[in-house]
Parts: sequence; structure tokens; C-alpha cells
Amino acid sequence: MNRRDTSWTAGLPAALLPERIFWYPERSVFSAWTQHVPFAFWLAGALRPSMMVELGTYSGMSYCAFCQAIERLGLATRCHAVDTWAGDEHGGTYGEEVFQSLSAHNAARYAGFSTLVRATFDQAAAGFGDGSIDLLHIDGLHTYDAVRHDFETWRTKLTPGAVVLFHDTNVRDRGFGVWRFWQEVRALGPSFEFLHGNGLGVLSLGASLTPELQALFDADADESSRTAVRTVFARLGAGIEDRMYRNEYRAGVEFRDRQIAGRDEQLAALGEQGAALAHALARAAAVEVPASAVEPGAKLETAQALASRVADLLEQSRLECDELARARASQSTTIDRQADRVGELEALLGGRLKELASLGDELAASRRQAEQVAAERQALYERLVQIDAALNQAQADAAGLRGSLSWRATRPLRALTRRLPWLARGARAAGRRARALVAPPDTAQQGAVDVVGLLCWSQLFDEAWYRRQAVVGEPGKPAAVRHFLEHGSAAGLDPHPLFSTSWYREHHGAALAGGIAPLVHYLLEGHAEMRSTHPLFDPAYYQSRGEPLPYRTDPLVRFLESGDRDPHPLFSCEWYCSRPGAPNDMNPLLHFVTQGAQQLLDPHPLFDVSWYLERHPEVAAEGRNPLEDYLLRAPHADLDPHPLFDSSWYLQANPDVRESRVNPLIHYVLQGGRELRRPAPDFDARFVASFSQAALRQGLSPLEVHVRRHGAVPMRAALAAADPTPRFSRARLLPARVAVGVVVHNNPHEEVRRLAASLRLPIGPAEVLALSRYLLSNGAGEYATLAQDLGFTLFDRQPNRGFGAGHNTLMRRAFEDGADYYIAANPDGFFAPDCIEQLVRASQHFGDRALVEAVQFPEEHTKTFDPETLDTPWVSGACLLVSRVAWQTLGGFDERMFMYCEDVDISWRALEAGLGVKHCPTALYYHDVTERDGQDWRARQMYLAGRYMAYKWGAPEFARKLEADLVRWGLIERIEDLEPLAEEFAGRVAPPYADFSRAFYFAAPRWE
Amino acid sequence: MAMHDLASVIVRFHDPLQRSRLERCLLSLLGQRRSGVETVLVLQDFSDTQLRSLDAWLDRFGWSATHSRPRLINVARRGASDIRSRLLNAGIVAARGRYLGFLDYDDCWYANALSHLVGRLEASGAAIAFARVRRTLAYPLERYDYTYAKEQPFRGASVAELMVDNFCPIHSFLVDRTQVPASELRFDEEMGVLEDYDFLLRTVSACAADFGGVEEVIGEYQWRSDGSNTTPVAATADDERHRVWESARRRIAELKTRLATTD
Repeated sequence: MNRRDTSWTAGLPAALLPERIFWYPERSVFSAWTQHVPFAFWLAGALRPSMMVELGTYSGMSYCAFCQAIERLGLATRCHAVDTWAGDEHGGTYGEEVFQSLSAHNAARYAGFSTLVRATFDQAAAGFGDGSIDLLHIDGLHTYDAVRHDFETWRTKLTPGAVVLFHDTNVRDRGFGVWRFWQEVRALGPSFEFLHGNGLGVLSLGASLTPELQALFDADADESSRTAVRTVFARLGAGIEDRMYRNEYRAGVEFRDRQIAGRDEQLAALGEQGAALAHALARAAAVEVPASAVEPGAKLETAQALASRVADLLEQSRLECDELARARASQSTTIDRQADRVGELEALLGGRLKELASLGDELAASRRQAEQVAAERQALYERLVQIDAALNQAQADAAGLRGSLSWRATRPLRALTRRLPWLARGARAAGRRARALVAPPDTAQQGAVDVVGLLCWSQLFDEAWYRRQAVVGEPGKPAAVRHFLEHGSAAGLDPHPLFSTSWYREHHGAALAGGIAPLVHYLLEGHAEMRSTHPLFDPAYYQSRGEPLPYRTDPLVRFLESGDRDPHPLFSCEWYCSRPGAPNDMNPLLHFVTQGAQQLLDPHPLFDVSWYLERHPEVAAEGRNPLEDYLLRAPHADLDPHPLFDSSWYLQANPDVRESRVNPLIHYVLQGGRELRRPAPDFDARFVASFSQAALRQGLSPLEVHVRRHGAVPMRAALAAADPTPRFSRARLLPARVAVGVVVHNNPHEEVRRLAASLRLPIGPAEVLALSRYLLSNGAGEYATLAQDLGFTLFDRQPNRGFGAGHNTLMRRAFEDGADYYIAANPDGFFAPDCIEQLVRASQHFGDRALVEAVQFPEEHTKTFDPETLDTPWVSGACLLVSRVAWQTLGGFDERMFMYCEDVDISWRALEAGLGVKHCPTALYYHDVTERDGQDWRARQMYLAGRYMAYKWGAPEFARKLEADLVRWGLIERIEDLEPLAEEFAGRVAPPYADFSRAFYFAAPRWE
Repeated sequence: MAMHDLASVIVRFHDPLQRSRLERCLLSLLGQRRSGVETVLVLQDFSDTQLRSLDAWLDRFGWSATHSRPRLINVARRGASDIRSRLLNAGIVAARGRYLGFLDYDDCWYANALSHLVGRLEASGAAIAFARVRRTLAYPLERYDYTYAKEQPFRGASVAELMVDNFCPIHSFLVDRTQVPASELRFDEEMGVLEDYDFLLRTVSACAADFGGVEEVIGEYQWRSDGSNTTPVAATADDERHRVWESARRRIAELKTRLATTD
């Protein structure tokens, strides 16, 4: 289109060209949505929504445009922006400043009617009632599945006249799938699609439209009108974007101006410095000779000194002048460059301003033309209303004729649409006709004949359940169904334990036009729309727990048939089925609803039925389900679902949860637990998380981990009872002979003396623990005298076969000599006073069937350990107790490992053999690791040890990575030179405790 | 050990039941790479029995000529509820070293702490040198503290930033007492909390400070999750404790104002 051609607005109705589409946005952030801001202004006035929700807000360009229009038009709209403000795979991740900026703007401008809800879309959905949202903008993750899920999750929340916006309908790369979903969903009602600004789909789900909306959707039917509307809003949007660019350029120019001003100041300062130097030169030249110096003999010295001083001053001045000249030259060059750049920017800005002026002219002309046709359009619209009224009357007259069409007539079509999804739209239209047939009282009898078959075949009509509620004279399921359709449904009776007629009617009432029975609606359409049938069955949550369900799958039926996923955030099938008395042959939720709650079975670790009923006896007295009661009343009432979950504290400590109106326990289970928020003031979630990482990876929250271990016992009391260290510290210490073995490799004698000094000290009751000392030298150092002095049995001048082999030699000898325990100790450390006694006590506590390590102090190793069992993924060889049982079972270290990782290996072999691998937190061994050198030979040994471990323990991929690294870092020349191991260990399968995912840490860390 | 080589470390200790925590502190001093370490263990109002018990317990460590057995200084409380600052001052008086460091009984140093800080003081000629300590988060159990996180929240690196807020825990610096006027080398005994910040503000205002080695990590500062050793917040502190904190904060603000207006 020619830019000067203004005829493209000539055919547009005035309803599409109100004054507000020419506004400028108050909040300007560069966004793909910027070009749709005029349409946002238009839509806010055209729809005048009571509630607007945006899914995916990011920096708030679109959301604030709507808020601006709502505020300026004086609408009574409640606005909610839902986002995690953490980014996604399409938008990328971004910093907290994005949220903070938007939050500040929102608080300053729209706090009275706008709320930012920081949650996932699924979490936030629980905070909105069905049939409450008039305008929904979906702009989250843009994959097909994500958009479809968002739409289906929120569809029930929409009012009958709602409008839904889909952004990015015109993007077809990077995995975007909005365009595909838009092709499907636009068939649900009147629609319009803009192609600019990545595309924006506008869909109305309502039958009655405002005149302005009608004008928009009418334009879609005619190509020239459609093009004109698209062009108008694209041009207006481009103008806004141009203005933002202009402001950006202007800011750039101002920034350069400031830079130039700064340079000018620097130049002025340099000038002043130059003047000062010139003044100093002048003073130096005029310096006077002191009278005291005018003495014979001194004259010459004074003159020489003065001459020297003047020469110095002159030289100094010359140097400073040179420096000044260089600085001036440099500044001038910089200023010239800045001036050139400013010139470029100004020229650019001038061009943009001219373009904007031209665009403004075009817009003004367009507006004048629009005003001219407005009156004509209004007249046409009024004529249209008259025609509509006549048409409605004609349709009413035809209703009797259509009454002869039956449900049976549409059955083949339904069957066909299941096989051919593209016929779905037609099928839905047929469904609407069927509703019309069965709903009106005067035609119910005739229509019910067809629906009876539908219900008889459905799993969701439980005859026995229904007959418990109603007296049905005739036997047989068809009779019960007919009774339900004729009486029970209207009376609020339930056809199935998991189908609550009153719940469905209350939450999806808007969809039940014409009085259709809730169950019939669900079977025809509601299941495909993911509508909930019962407070304890959340179809969106159910679907989110696994792969998306096939199109039009009934989630409730699927759940009843398979029980494959949890039906609600607060119902854990796995937990429920593990309770004593739970069934193994019945769907767990069905059991809970029909009998389990009365049997006080807990549906979830964090919902304590007995505790809840004790505090709310009226619930049991009235026969209500306690979990349903809790979900209904929280968060409006001060209710705690469990002794360890403090709802009011949680809401107080987490304002975002409070503002989002999400049930606090559901928030904690779905999100807060993962984020390590505290469920109560005295529950330290980070502490529990540090030793429960495997459980957390499975989706459990720290409080669930605790409750699964300790029930409702508070953390402090539970830990006090479970912590084994006080018990073994107070237990009777059994007499034992303890051997301490030290393997040295040219270590300084002072180190060994320091270690020996810590051994000379009392190590517990002398009559209970007897100590012997062994020393083995793997190097050339001379230790004979030292060993004799310190009371060590020396194994000297052994061929150096490595750390493990050295300790094996000592261990063998120690146990031959009658030791009960052998403690391997690194020579560069020393024992705390109680270290040995605590190691022995811990070993005895575990029946001597465990390897026990001391704490490496003061820089503790990061690997985790369980404070209740003292289990740790592996034990360090820096200070390690090996009991006689462990020695007899394991035979010491693997001597094929020269150094490094042999302690990990012996730990995994211990686990393989059924022994324990324990950390003793009350035994401290001082071992300084802050100054390890990074020599190549150390790195080489470590990589070789890791490679051996990887092959030996079934992780050949890790081994091959290390081989590549050995070559890459120049530690070996060729992989072929390495000992062949792949064949020797082929087929080994890594056991669950062999963790190579953390490389040489071999364990999850407590901290990074 | 001549005074010009000796580093004195003052450890204040007020509760005999906390011996397992003190053990870690003393071990970390015994493991210092630098020799010439004098530990001054200042006790708050210990009874004779408690003194004898502590003395016997100290015998079980491997003290040496270079890392000497702690000297015990018992300070009577004389009715005062909190004598934290007085304990430090008593330690300063008793200390014989040129270099002065402070280590709380429930914190610890890494082996490099004294060698690094003394090295910085010698290289810079400053009166006080700073380094980093990590914050460790721990859950207190009956016999030990379970460490579950280590963090680095202390970020500052200059006198100016120190004037804004204290990022230097009491064991993150070492003082060369020959460079600090004796009148300044004391803690304000009227301050029950923030006494270390008051000391730092006065010292860095009057003397040269070295932040050149501040990025070196030399130890750990333990925060227990029961709040027993952290700054209270208004919602959880009892009135008296809250009042003490408010008073200290007010005095710090006044000191900053005074320092800012004194050239």
C-alpha cells in the first residue's frame, strides 16, 4: 500500500476508530506487544470487562496498556497479571528487576484495581471462580501443548461473553505453536486475527456481542474490511514503536551532550592546570637569593643550588606541558569523534521525526474520514438490530419444527467425529442442539430417551450409589437413569461419588444453559473442556502430572480406570494406599470419598484427618468430608490442615501467596516446598532439604519428608529422639584395641609429630581403649628415629604401591596383632581429643558393621549425611575407622588404585556387601585442605583413579569423558597408552549408590 | 616468642555448656599454619569448679611451643547482665602479642587466617587488615551443629563501605597494636551489641586500613537456625534484647555523624 494513500480507512465503521486508539502508552518497554497497544485501548472500551486476567506478563507492556485504558475510561474492572517472572524457554530467563520495575509501576498507578499474581498459571487458576473472567489474554509459553493447556485450564473461568486473546499467532519458528492452536480454536466463536506484532488472535466465546466487537468480527468476513482493520491498527502500533525509538535516540543524544559537557569541563581544568604551571615557572625564574647565602664561598654553592633548582623546575614544567599537550590532543580527538556521532544521531532523529509527522498527517486524515462514515454506520447498525430481532422471532417459531430431531439422529455424527477430529466443530454444534432437546421441561421426556442410553453406558452413573440417595421403584439401571434425569439431577443428587451435581452446577452454571443436566453436559462437552466434577478431582492438575491426555479424553474416566496420577494436589494415591486399612482393589480417591474419610485415613501427608476433625467436630457431625471442608473454607478461614502447617503464618510470611488467594497448603505442596519456604516458623526447610535431596527430586516438600519420617512430631522433638549421637555418647563403651595407621610419603617430621602429639593425649578411659600406632613410609624419607621416638611400629622402605596398598599392609598387621579397630589417618592432620573415642562409639552403635568417618575440620566436606541415620554416600579416607568385621568382609582398599578415590570405592563395596557407610559428626579430625597444590601429577592420578572407578562401577561414559580430558589437558599423550579396562568391566551395571553425576564429588552436596 | 612476632587471639567464652563449640574454635587455632599463636581465653564469671574442669579439658589438646596452651582470664560480672565488651578489653590487656585478633567461641578460622592477615599487615604497614569469612547456616543438635549451607553475604571492600554498614565480622580482621593509639584500642563497655562495629569505625577513622587481601577466605561465621546467635528482629526479640539493639544502633548512628563532621 502506498504510504500516502489514506483511502484504506474509508470503509471502516466508527466503532473501530474511537479517539482512544490514538492514545500513547504511559509505560514504554520494548516488546513484541508494543504494536498492539492501540488495539488494547480499543478492546478495553469495546468490551468493558468486569475482570481481566493476563497469563504471561513479563515487563507488562500489554498489561499496563489495558490498565491504562481501564483507568482512563473509568471502568470498574479488576485486573490480574499472572506470571512467575522467571522466564521460559521462548522468552528466556531474566532478572528480578523486570518484576520489580513492573511492580513499582503497578503500585504507583493501578494499585486500586490491579494485582500481580506471582505464580504458575495452573496454581493461579485455583484463585479464580468459574465464569468470572471477561477478558483473558494468553501469552505464556508458546508451544502448542502449552497454549492448549492454558486455554483448557482457564476456559471454565470465562464468562459467557468473554473474549480471549492469543499472542504470537503469526510466529512459526522456534517451536511456537500458537498459530496451530489458533487455527483450531478460532472455530469456537467469532474471531479476528491481526498479523502485525507477531500476530494477535481475538476470539469471542459469547453469543451476544457489543456493537463495537460485532463491528470487529464483521470485518473479518470481508477481505477489504479485514485488511483495512489490520492496516489501521498496524499503522497506529508502528507509530507507538517509532515514538519509543525516537525517545531512545533522543536519550542517546542527551547522553552524548552530557559527555561532551564533561569533556569541556575536563579541558577547562587542564587549561587551569597549564596556567598554574606557567605561574610556577614565572615564580621560579624570579626566585631571590637569600641574604645568608651571600657569603664568600657560599655564593657559588648557592648559585649552583639555585641553578639546579630552576633547571629541575623547568624540566618538570616541560614534562607537565608535554603531558598537557598530549592530553589536549587526546581530548580533542575524542570530542571530534563524539561530535561526529552526535551529527549522525541528529540526522537520524530528523529523519524519524519527519516520518512521524507524515504518519500523523495520515492518521488525522483517516480519523476525519472515519467520522464521516460514522453516522452512516450507526444507521446501518440500528437496522441490523431490527433484523436480528425479527430473526430471533423466526427462530423461536421454528423451534417446534426442530423438536422432531432426536439425539439418535446425531449419534452417527458423534461417532464419526471421534475418528475424524476435523468434524469436531460440527459435532459440537450437534451437541448444542441436543442440549436444546433434553433441557426444556416440555421436551425432556422425549429427549431423555436418548440420553438414558448415554448414561447407562457411562461409568459416571453408579446405579448403586444413586439408589442409596433416591427411592427408585423400578429395578434396572435404565430406570435409575431415567429417575435421575427426571428428578435426581434437579434435586442435586449425585450420579457417582466423584460427580457432584451441585458442585458442577455451582462452578459451571454458566455452561448449563437451557437446564441441561450437569452429568449430561459433562459427558457431551464438559470433559473435553476439562471441567471439574468434584472438589477433590482437579482435571488440570491430573493432566499436568504426566503426558498430555489425548484430545477429548475424559480425565475422570481415565483416572477411575487407571489411577495412574494423583487427582488433586492434596490427594496422594501412593500415600493413601500405604495407610493401614487402605484398599488395594479400589480407586483410592473413590475409597476416600465413600469410606476412607470416616475411617480417618489421611489423603495426603500434610492433611491430618483426625487432627482436623478434632478441631472441627461439626464437620463429622454433619457428615461432610474433612478435606472438602478444608478446601472450601481455606484460605478465607484460619484453618490448619496439619499440626505442623501453620496457615496463617505461611500467609503472613508470604505476601505473594496471600495476594494470589491460593490455598496456602496447595501453594506449599506445589511450589513453596520446592522453594524451601518454611511451612511454620520453627520448621527449618533448608536443613531438611540438605539431607533429603533424592526425595525432593521426586517432588516431595521438606515438610512431607519430615512427616513421612516422623508423623506429626515437631522437628525439634523428632530430631532429639532420632539423633543417634547422644545415645552412643552416653552408652557404655566396650573395651577395645584401636590401631592408628599412618602412611607417609616424604611428609615433614613436624606434621607427624603434631599428629603423634594428638595421639599421646588421653583417648578415653585408658582401661577401655588401648591404642597402638603403625607407620608406613611410601617414599624416601627417613622415619626410623622419629617412629621410635613417637612409639610407632614402622614399616619402612616399602616399594611405593600407593595409599590403599600401604594402609592394607598396616591393617593386615594391626588385625593380626589383635586390634578391634583400625583408624586410617592422613599424616597432615591431627585428632581432636574425643575423636577416636567417638569413632569407636559410633562403630559399636552400628554393631561394628559399618565404615565410619570423622568430620574433616575446619573445612567440612560438602557431601550430605543424614542426621538421623548418619548415612553418607561415601566415607573419606582422611580419617576412617575400619572395624574387624569390615576388614574381614571387604579385605581393605582396592590395591589397583594408587591414590585418590579408593575411599569412595571401599564405601560402595561396603554398601554392596550390606555394611553401613557412616559419618560421625562428633568426631573431629583437623585436616587442612585449603592449600593443595595443583600439580599435574596429582591431576593425572585423580583422573586415572576416576577412570578406573567409572569402568569398575558401570559408568563407561564418565570413563571416556575422563580419557578425553586426560589427553586434552596434556596429562597423557594417547588414550591407547592407558590400561585397557573397558572389556574387563564390560556389562557392569551401576548400582543406585554409584553416583557419577557430580563428577569427583560422587554425592549430592549440602552446599555449592 | 618476642612481642614483634606473636599473634594474640582473644576468645571470649561465657557458658561452660558450650564446650563442644569451643573445641572447634581452639582446634582451628591449633591448626594455624603460622607459628607464634597465643590464645587468650577470657571467661565470664566462671566458678572455681568450672575453671578446674576447663583447665583439665585443655590438657587434652596437643599444644606446643609455637601454638601455646590458652591463658585463662576469668572476669567477674559484678552484677552486670552482659559484659561482652569488658571481656574483650580484659583480653586486650592480657595479650602479649603485637598482632591482635578476635575469635568468638562458636566460630573458627581456616589454617591460613593468621598467616594471611599478618602478611597483609607487614606488606601494607596498615594498622588493621581485613579478609573474608563465610557464613555457615547450621541446625543445632544436642551434640553438634549440622551445617547445611555456606554462603558469602559479606561483600564490602573499603572503608567507605564499612561506614555504610558492617560487613566485617569480628574474626575477619587483625590489628597491629603498634599502629593504633592505646586509647582507641578498646571496646565500648556500654555497648552490649555492635561493640565490634563501634571499634572498627573508630579504628579505620584514625588509622590506615588494608583491604588489599579482603577477598581471601579465612574462616567461618556460624548462624544457627534457632536464632541463638543472630541479630534479632523486632517480631521475635524480647523487649529487653530489642531495647539493647536499638540503643546500640542509635550510638552507631551518632558515632558515624561525629566521624563524618570531624576532619
